[in-house]
Amino acid sequence: MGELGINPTYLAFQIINFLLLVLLLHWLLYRPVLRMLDQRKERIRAGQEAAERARTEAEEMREQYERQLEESRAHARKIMDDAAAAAERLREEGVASAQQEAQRILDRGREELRAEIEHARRELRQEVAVLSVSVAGKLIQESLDTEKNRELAASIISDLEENS
Amino acid sequence: MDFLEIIGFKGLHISLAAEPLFHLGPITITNTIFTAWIVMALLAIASFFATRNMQLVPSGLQNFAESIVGMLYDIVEGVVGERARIVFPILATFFIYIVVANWMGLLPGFNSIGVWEHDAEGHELFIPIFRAANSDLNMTIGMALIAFILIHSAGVIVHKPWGYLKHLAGPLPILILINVAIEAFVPVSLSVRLFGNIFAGEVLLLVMRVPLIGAAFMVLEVLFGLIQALIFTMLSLIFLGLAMSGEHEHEEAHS
Repeated sequence: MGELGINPTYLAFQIINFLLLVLLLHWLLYRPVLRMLDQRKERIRAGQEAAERARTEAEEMREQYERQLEESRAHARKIMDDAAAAAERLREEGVASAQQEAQRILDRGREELRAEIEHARRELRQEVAVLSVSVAGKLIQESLDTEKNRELAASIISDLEENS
Repeated sequence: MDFLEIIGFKGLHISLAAEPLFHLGPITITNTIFTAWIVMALLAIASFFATRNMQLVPSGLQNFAESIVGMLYDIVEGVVGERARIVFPILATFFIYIVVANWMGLLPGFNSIGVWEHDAEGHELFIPIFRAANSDLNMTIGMALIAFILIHSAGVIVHKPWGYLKHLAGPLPILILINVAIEAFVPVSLSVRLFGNIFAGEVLLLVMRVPLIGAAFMVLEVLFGLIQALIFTMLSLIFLGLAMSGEHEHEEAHS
């Protein structure tokens, strides 16, 4: 043992030395470094969780906004459709009333025209009747009283009307 | 014992035992203990500066310390699980201390700066002031004993004393003898392997004092220094993991 250099005192001394080094490195190296590694791990984990949470929130918000946007779009489309329908209705009403007006004017014109014609025709008949009576009177050279004249004229008119 | 004279290097001297340098009260300080102190001081100072002002965004020395400690912690946690916090300081110190001590032993001045002394028979002896800390069996046996105690106390704590005995016995009670023998040889192999590699490396570099060739061996020794640190740490960790394993089966058997 002596030749190999094994010596209980040195052995004990080296063991104490080594354990002292273990303690020193534990205080100065392992504990602070492992604590720092843990801290960093924890921090990274927390950061990742926060990022994940923020992402989820953003996603939710995006969905909400999209929903709102869709709603607004639908609303706008409805307003525009309503407006278009109202405009169409107004236009149709305008056209209809204009047509009615035109028809009315036309009808009235036609009515007046017919009355004119009727009036003219009646006057003409009277003229013709009077003329006929005077012509007939002249022809038969017979004087008829006014009463008979009138009756004759009426009969001629009725004849004319039956013939016409 | 004059090792080098045996293999034909007269005048060169290297002894298996660490040489005493000076006395500190009742304790004799050898050159390996002295070197171990230097390593300890360097590690403590570097650690102090690395963790003095820790930032969430690391840089420089803090970054380096974090990568080393983080890597070692991941390895330890991968083997022993959530109990890593308790055993980690010892296992990490195995690695860090062994690799720094091994590499420091390659610096110029190691085994070459020293004093000439006369032994009891009047022979001239060269006493180097700096000698690689792990080229001393006291150092490697010391660490191996710490690993041994760590492994088996962890086993006893995890399995309870009787459970750990059963764990050691395995399926056949007679195997307990073989298993105990194996466990007893773990610290022997750990300590002798580390000592042998580092001591042999020193002798090799001393013998190969030829330019270029010496440099090539130096490169190899840098590699060996790292590999030995890894082997010592990983074997300790694996045996620790084995001693702590089977915990759940054990609990299920009881419940």
